[in-house]
Amino acid sequence: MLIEASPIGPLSILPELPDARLAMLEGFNGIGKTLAVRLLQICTGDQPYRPDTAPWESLCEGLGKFTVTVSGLNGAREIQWVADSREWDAGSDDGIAPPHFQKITIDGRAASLDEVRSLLTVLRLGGEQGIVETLARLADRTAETVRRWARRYADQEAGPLASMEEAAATSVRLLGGWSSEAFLDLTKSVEKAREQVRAAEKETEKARQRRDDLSGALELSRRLQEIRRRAPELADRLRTIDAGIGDIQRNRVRLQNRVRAIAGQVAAAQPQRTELQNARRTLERRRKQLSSRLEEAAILGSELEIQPDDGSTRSLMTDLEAEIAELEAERIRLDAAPSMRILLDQLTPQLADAERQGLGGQLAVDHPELEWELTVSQTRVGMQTRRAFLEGQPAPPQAQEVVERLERTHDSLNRAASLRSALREAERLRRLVAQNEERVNNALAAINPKAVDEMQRLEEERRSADERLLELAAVRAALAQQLGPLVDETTATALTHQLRASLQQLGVSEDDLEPALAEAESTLASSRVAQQKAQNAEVETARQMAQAGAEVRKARTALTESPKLEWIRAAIPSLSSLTRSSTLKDQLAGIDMARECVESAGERLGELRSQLGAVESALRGVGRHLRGLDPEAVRYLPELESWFSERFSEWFNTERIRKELLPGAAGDVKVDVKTRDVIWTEGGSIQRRPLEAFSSGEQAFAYTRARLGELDVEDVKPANRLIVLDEFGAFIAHDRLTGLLAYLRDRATIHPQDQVLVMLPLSRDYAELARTSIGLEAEKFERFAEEITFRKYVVRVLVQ
Amino acid sequence: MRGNTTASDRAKPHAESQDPDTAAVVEALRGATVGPNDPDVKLAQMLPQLKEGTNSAFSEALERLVRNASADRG
Repeated sequence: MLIEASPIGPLSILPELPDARLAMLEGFNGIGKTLAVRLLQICTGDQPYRPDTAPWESLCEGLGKFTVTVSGLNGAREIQWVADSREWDAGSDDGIAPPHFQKITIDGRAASLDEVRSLLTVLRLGGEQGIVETLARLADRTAETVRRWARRYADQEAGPLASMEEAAATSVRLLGGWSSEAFLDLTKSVEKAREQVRAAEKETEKARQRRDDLSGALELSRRLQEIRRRAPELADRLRTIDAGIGDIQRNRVRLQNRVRAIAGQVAAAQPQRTELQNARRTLERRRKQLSSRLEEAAILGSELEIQPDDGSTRSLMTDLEAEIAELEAERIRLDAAPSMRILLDQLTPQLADAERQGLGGQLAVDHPELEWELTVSQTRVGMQTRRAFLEGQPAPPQAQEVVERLERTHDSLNRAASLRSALREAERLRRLVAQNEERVNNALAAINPKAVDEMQRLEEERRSADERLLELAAVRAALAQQLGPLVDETTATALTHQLRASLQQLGVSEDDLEPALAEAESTLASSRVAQQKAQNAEVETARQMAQAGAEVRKARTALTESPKLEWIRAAIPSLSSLTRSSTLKDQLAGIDMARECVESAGERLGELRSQLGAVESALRGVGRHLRGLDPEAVRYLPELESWFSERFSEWFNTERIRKELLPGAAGDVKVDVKTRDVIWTEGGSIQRRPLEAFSSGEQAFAYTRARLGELDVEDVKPANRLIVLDEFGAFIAHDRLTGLLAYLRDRATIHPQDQVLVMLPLSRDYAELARTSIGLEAEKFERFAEEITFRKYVVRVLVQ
Repeated sequence: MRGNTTASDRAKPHAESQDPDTAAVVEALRGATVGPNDPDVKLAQMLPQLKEGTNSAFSEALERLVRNASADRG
C-alpha cells in the first residue's frame, strides 16, 4: 500500500505499508504509523474517529490532498483513492458524514465504497484496549452498524421500508374507509332513524288527534252556545217563512183551480187541452229543477259566506285564485322538493333519449366560472341521484301549514266553481221556465180566447206566487244550512251529551277548552318539528347509506379490477370470488380481509423500524453494561446479552485461548455478559473470574488473540483483509510476543485472504545488536539499523 | 407484531450474498430472537434487495408479506 501525501499541517504519515501475509513493523514514535492505518480504515468505509474530537479535526485540517493506492489484491489489481481531507466534515454528536472522495477506482474503473468494502477491509486492534473495552467496542460497533443500516434501509422518510409503507398506505386508501363493522353501525343508525321517525309520526298523530278532538269539542261547544243564543230566533224566522210558504202554496192551488175552472167553461178541442196539460207539466218540472238549483246555490253561498249571485261568486273566485298563487309561491319557497321532483322527472327522460341517440359523451353543462364540465350521461346520473335524494324528503312544518291552507283554499275555489255552475244552471232553467210559461199562455189563448185576459191575470198572479215561493225556499235553505241539524231541541240535547262525553274523554272542562286547544296546537307544532328533525335525520342516514354503498362498490371495483391492487389479489386468492354481483356484505368482507392483511403487513414494516431501534439501543446497552454503566435499555437487552455471552464464550473456548488464558480449564468456558464473569471448571470445582481480570498486562496476549478470534468467526469475509495489531509493545511482554507471532504464523495458513501487520514502537538498538552479534544475525541487525536510519522504521516479513 | 420468522428464515439462506452490514444486522437481529417479540429477520433480509426497487418490486415484496398475513388469518 502506498500513500502519496504532503501534509499541510504538523502531521506525519507512513508512506507505505508492507505487502505480506504476516509482517512486523517497528518504528519511531510520531512517524505516522497509526495515522496510515486509520486513513486506510477511512478509505475502506470505516470511521475509526469519534466526531468532534481533536484527532479527527487534526486529520481533516492537516492532511490535505492525498492519494492512496493498494495493489496486489485478491479479485482486483489495484484500488486507488484520491481525496482532500479539508473537504471532510468535522462532524457532530450525530456522527460524521461519510468522507467524500474525489475519486475511487478499482482497476481504473470508478467504484463505490460498497464495492471497495466487498474487496478490502482494514481492522486495527489497538493494544491499548483491554478485553472489556474490546468487547464493549464490539457491541458499540454492532450497534453503529445497525444504526447505519437502519438509516439506509429503514429510514422513516426515504428508502425501501418507507417506500413499502407508502405503497401499503396507498393501497389501503384505495380500499376506502368502510368496514363491515362500520357499515353495520350505519345500518343500525338507519334503522334507528326509521324507528325514531315512526315514533315521531306516532307522537304527531297523537298530538294532532288531541288537537282535532279539542277543536271538535270547542266547535261543538260554540255551536251549542250559538244554538242557545240564536236557535229561538232562527226557529221563529223559519216558522214565519214556512207559514208564508204555506200561504203562497194555498193561494197557488186556489189560482190554479180558478184557471182550470175558467178553462173548463169553454168547449175546447181535445188537442188544445192536451197541449195545455203538457205545457203545465213541463213548466212544473222546470220550476222544481229551478227551485232545486236555487236551494243548492243558497247553501253554497251560505257556506262560502257570500250572496249566491254571479258577481259575488266571480269576485270570490278571483280572490281565491290569487290566494292560491301566493300560497303556491310560498310553498315552493319553503319546500322546493315537489317542484324539483317534477322538473327532474321531466328532464331525465329527455337526457336518456339523448344517450340512446349516442350523445351520452357530449358536454351538456359547461360552467365557465366553476370550470365544471358534465357530459349528458353525467348530467342524467346527477339528476337521477338528486331525484332519489328528493324522494321522500319531508316538508318542513311551515310548509305543511301552507299545504293545509292551500288545500282549504282549493276546496273553497271548488265550492265557488260549483256555486257558479249552479247559478248558471239556475239561469238556464229560468229561461226555460219563461219559455214554458209562454207556451202555457199560448195554450190558454187557444182554448178560450174570451177568457184569455182573466186567465192570463190569474196565471200572472200564480207566477208571482211561484217566484215568491222560490225566493222563500232559497232563504229557508240558507237558514237551514246555517242552523244545520241543530234547530230542534232533541238534537241540541244529544249534542250536549256528546260534548260532555268528549270533555270527559279529553280531561278538560268546557271553560278550559280554548287554552287546552292552544296548548294542543303548541304540542302539535313541537311534535311536527321533532318529526321534521327525525325525518331529516332519516334522510341524512339514508343518504349516508347510499353514499357508503357507492363507496363500498367503488372499493370493491378497485380491489378486484385495479392494476394497482393486483398484488393484493395475487396474495389473497380467495378475493377472486368477489364480483360485481356479490352482496354488499360479501364485498365488505373481502375489503375487510384485504385491508386487515395490508395493514398487518404495514404494521410489520413499522415494527421492524422500532425493532431495529430497540436492537441498537440494547447493543449500546450491552457496551455500557460491560463498562460497568447503566445499560439504559430494556427491550432485547437480555437476549443480546445472552447472544454476546455465547459469542464471547466461543472465543474463550478456542483451543489457543484456553491454552493461554485458562490452561487448567476442563469442559466449556462460559462468559456471562450479565455478570461480566468468565466461568469454567478447574480441578473439579467451578471457577469464576471477572472479565476485567483478563485485561491485565499478563493477559494481554490472550485477549489480543480473543480479538483476532472475533474476526475469525465472521460469516462474511471480504476478498482481502488487513489486520493491524497496533501499540502492543507497552502491554505485551517480549517473551509473550514470540508466542503471539507463532500464533499469527499458524493463523496465516488458515486465513490466506488476511494480511496481518504487527506495529511496534522501536524498542531495541539494532546497531548495537549488530555490533554484539555474529554472522547472519549481525548482518540482519545491521540491515535493520540502516533501514531505521534511512526510513525511521524497519519491516520484518514473517510470512510472505 | 411478531416478524414471521420461520426455521427456514433462520437458516441464513443468502448470507453469502449479503453485504457485510446487512450480514451483521441480520446476525444481531437473530441474536435478539428468542420469543414472541422476535425482530423481523426475514424482512430485514429483504430490504437491501429493494434499495433501488421499483413500484412493482415493492408490490411483490408486499405481496409476500400480505400472503403471510392472509395465511395467519386463515
